[in-house]
Amino acid sequence: MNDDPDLPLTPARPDQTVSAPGLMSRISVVWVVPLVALVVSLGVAWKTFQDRGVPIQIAFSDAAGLVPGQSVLKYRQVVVGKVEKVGFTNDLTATLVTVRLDKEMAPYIDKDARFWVVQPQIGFSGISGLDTVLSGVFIEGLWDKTFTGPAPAVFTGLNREPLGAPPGSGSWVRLTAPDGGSLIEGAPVLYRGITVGQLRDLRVNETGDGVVIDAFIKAPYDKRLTTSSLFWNTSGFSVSLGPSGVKLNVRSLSSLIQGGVEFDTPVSGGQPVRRGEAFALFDDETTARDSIFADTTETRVALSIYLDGSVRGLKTGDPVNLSGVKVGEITSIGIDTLPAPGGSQSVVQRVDFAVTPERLGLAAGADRADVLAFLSDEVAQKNLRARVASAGLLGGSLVVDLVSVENAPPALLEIDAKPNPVIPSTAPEISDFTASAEGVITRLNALPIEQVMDSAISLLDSTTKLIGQDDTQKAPGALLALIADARGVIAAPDLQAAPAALRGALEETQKFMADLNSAGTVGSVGGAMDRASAAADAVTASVEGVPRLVETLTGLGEKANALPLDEITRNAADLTATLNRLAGSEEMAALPAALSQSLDALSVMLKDLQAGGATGNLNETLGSARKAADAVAEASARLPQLSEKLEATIRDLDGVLASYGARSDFNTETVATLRQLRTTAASFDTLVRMLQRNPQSLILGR
Amino acid sequence: MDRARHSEEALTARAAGLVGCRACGCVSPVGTATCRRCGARLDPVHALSLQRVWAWMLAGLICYIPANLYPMLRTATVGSTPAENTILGGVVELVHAGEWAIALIVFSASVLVPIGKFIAIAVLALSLRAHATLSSHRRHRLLEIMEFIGRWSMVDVFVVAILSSLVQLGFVVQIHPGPAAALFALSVAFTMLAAQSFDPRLIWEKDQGPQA
Repeated sequence: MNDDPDLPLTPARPDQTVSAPGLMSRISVVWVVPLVALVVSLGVAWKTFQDRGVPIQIAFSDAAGLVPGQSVLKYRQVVVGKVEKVGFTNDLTATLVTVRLDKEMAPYIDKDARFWVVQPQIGFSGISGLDTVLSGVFIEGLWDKTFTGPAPAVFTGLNREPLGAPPGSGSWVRLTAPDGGSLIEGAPVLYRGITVGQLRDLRVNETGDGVVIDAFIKAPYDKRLTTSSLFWNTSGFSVSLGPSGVKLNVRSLSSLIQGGVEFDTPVSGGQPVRRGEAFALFDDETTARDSIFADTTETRVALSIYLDGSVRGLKTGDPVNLSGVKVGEITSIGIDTLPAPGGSQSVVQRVDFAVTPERLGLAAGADRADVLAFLSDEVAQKNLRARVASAGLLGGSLVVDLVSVENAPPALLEIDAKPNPVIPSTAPEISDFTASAEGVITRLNALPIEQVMDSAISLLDSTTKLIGQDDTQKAPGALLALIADARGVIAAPDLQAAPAALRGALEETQKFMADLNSAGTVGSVGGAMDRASAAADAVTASVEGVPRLVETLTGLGEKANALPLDEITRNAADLTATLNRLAGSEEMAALPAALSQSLDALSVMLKDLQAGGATGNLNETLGSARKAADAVAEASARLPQLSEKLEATIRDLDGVLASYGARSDFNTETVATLRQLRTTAASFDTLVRMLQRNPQSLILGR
Repeated sequence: MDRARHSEEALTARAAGLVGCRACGCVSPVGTATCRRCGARLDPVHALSLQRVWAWMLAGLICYIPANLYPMLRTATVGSTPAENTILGGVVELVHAGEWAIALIVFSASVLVPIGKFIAIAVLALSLRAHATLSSHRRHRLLEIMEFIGRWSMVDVFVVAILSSLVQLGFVVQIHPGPAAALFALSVAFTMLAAQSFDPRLIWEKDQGPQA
């Protein structure tokens, strides 16, 4: 700044250094920026223009779902172009879709390129094109590397996806059938139950008397195809009623709804198929497989038979069997007149059929002469005859059987007959199902079913009545009471006391006899011996009664065994318990002692007698002794039984004690019942006697 | 009228033989290289500054044209083919969708403002050459508005940036910025630079320059 105060207020005007007007100083360096931007933009624009695809035009019958700018063209599921415009052809008969195809794909588009619109499809055999639900409809293209010709200006789009477009992906054959059956477009082609292809383009043939169907079989299954392959319809389901019963045949659900075709190559030797090879479509598998034998290339020998009787139901195509194996089939059925024995003419049924030599067992290549020679031999030597027979479950269908008939009247194969050689026939063997059924029913009617039923009913009634009777129902109870009585009798204390007394008495007797011996009174001994003998006889007599009693008791025991065991056992247990108490009681214990004492007294008395030496009253004494012996005999008669019962009682007792234990309640009650038992013992005795007298009364309840 | 009078009376730094610092406003004698106070470089007013304006504007314009032709957004949603939207296409779609308010915002931020800016810069630059019908005050006002509003053009770029970073739902929705986003951002940046390099001193000095 200038410090001079005299200077005017106007600011100083310093010298401006003006640089040389060079190019660089006159043009800002910033201009580089728009230049670069321009270059880059132009470059991008150029690249975009360069990368712009090639437009192709495709005519579709309709362009459903195609959106310009959005829908794409795909090749093997990769986007290779975009729909630019959807318009119409000049004549408005189709839509014209302009697709901008990627540049690198453009060289491969030639005249064989195919385009179709992929749309979601839900069919019986599955869902396809599901991806288009999300992404929208797109065009799929298919072409390959080989150049076949320049691309047309407008491609014609297909209505649906072509099958087997890439070479080697399958084979096309053509099926012919009298009608379309239940087949529809897209129905599956099966091979052993597996879907291996599709039917396409079902159409009526040119003459209008049949249909033609294109079938595509995917690789590698098309390897199974030869010219001898068979195709048959598997549509729906089939029910067949044959000799083996009812057979229901359903293939896949898909084929049930939309039909289907199955194929197989049962015989070898076929040639590889050409594209579009024609095959006949059979109605079912059986027909198809039978058709192998109906092959026109095979030799078939026509024969005839004449049927005397009227045979209804035989029809063309029915099998002709030899030994149950089909060797041919009926070709026609007609009427013929034959000269009758009386000079007149008779009308007979003529059945023509054809047999295949191979099936007759003749060598391959056998001709008509071989067949006729064979049959002629069979007819002449083995009585081969033709016979109409029924077949099938109900005998409804008929076949012609060639069978050997024994004792048939001799006949020959009429080789020269016109129009065909005639095989002699025999009477038909037609099972009359209705007649058989009627016979069965007649026989059923004849059966005395009603009488049998009446008898059975009355028997059952009687049984019911018997069972229902009060007496019958009471029987077991009565038997129980009987057993209880018997036990009571046996358990009587008198009886139980007897053995000890008996032993004492016997000992005394022995002693007494010894004394008698030693006394030397021989004179009277004889008489005494007689008495003693008589006493012994009495003992024997009374002992003889024992077995009977034992028998009775055994019988009683057997009856008892058959009775309701639970209750009986329980009662028996109670009884034995009672008996046990009885045996253990002081009275019982005292009883033998008392007996012993009285016997001791007897002994003393006898000793007194011995000591007294009073031979005079020996007789009286012996009489007393005999009485005593009688008593002993009576007592001893019951002895074995008693010991048995006592043993049983002790056995039972052990079990009862084990189960009951030492329960005071039980014991006291047992003692109480003991007395009741004793009082009723007498009445039981009478019952036992009554039973012995008349055992049947128990059973019959009288 | 008032402003016109003001302009008549004002003394410009140039007329006083000074050069103003654009950073801090301190004036220094003409020829000084750096500001005495803040040390910023002192640019003498000369025609090159106007060239810079033109250059930046042209660059912005070059970028703006493809920015409108190329897609701004690539949207891939499940159930449709990937959609590409240009700026105007997006506006049209918004209008079709009934989103008038958003359409208006996008349209003004992406179309009206940039184009207005180009026009404003062009008008300002041209007005320095020919006989301007605009007064200097109006021109200055215009410059202020342009600078203020210019930054809002970036709204569109931000929308794209935010969308493409937030909306990445994989299979369901994917949004990617298109080439136009970068171009548009460049264009906005260039026009901002153009507005920046416009030296407001030129407005006033043009009026007084001949007198001096």
